[in-house]
Amino acid sequence: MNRKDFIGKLSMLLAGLPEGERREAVQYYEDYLSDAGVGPEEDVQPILGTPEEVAASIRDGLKDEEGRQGVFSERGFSQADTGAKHEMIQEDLNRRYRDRSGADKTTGKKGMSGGMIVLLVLLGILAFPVLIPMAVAALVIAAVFLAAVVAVVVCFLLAGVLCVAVGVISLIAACTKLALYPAGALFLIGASLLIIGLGILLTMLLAWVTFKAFPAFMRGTVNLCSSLLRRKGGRAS
Amino acid sequence: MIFNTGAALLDAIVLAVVSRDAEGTYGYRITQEVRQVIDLSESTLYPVLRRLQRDECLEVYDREYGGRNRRYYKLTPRGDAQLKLYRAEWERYSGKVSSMFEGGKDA
Repeated sequence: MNRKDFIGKLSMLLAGLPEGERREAVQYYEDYLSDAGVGPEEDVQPILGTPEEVAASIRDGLKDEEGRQGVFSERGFSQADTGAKHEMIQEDLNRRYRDRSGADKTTGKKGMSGGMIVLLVLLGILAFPVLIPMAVAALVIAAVFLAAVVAVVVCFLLAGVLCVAVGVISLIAACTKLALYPAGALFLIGASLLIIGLGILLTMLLAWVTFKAFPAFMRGTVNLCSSLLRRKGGRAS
Repeated sequence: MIFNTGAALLDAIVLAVVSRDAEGTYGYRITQEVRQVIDLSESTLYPVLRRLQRDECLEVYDREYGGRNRRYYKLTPRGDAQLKLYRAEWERYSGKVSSMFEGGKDA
């Protein structure tokens, strides 16, 4: 392939890159071939390889930015011919420079935030009539949920206290009958102790639920809500 | 070549080559000089130069040569600092490897 065709093909293969990038690259290779003393009709393939390879290496170098902007497809051409060493170098480069170009990108994106905020505010105003009933419904659901939780807690508490009370009473009763019916009384004492134990266990479980699990659950819910809000905020800015 | 040239080392070599000319130098010459030390294809360097340029380690300017404009690459203060860092790091690293080859006398 002669020089003229090579440059033409390369320019064509780089279509879709930002115009500045394309011009820069084409000028570099024009310069390069001039400095290498290659005339317009001379074959450049032995020096530079195919235009496809060269274009792939240029696109590879820009891949980081392209990927983030999501404008260009990376696989519009074959990259298989690029040498392994070259790929390794590019990969390292990409990794090394990712941080800095990432920072560049975020500052670049801030230009859009003004319009986005206006749109979000507009959305908020328009959604107002829908939002109020939804907020009321959410509040009602939350109240019902809270009531249910309180009811369950109270039930457990009552059950535990009652178990302990019943156990103690029957223990006392059994002790008074120990002389009269030793076997039955012993059996009753055992059962009473069992019930007391169960009651204590229930109370402890309840204490654990109220003081450990419930706060943890609430914290989890709060975190979830705030993370959702934060993500929404991040999208806006 | 047996040993791989990583990206940092390639950057360092390119910066060193460019720094040898106070006025800067151009793509073809950089490529030829780098090729004296490491084995790479003639089209490998453009993305590297472009990236170093974007990272403000190199700056470019055009100068008239033989009836056309030739693009020159020149080190920026940032590129100079980067090169110094690479050089110090290379001395440390190559010194360690060399001392290992010499029987670990200093290591």
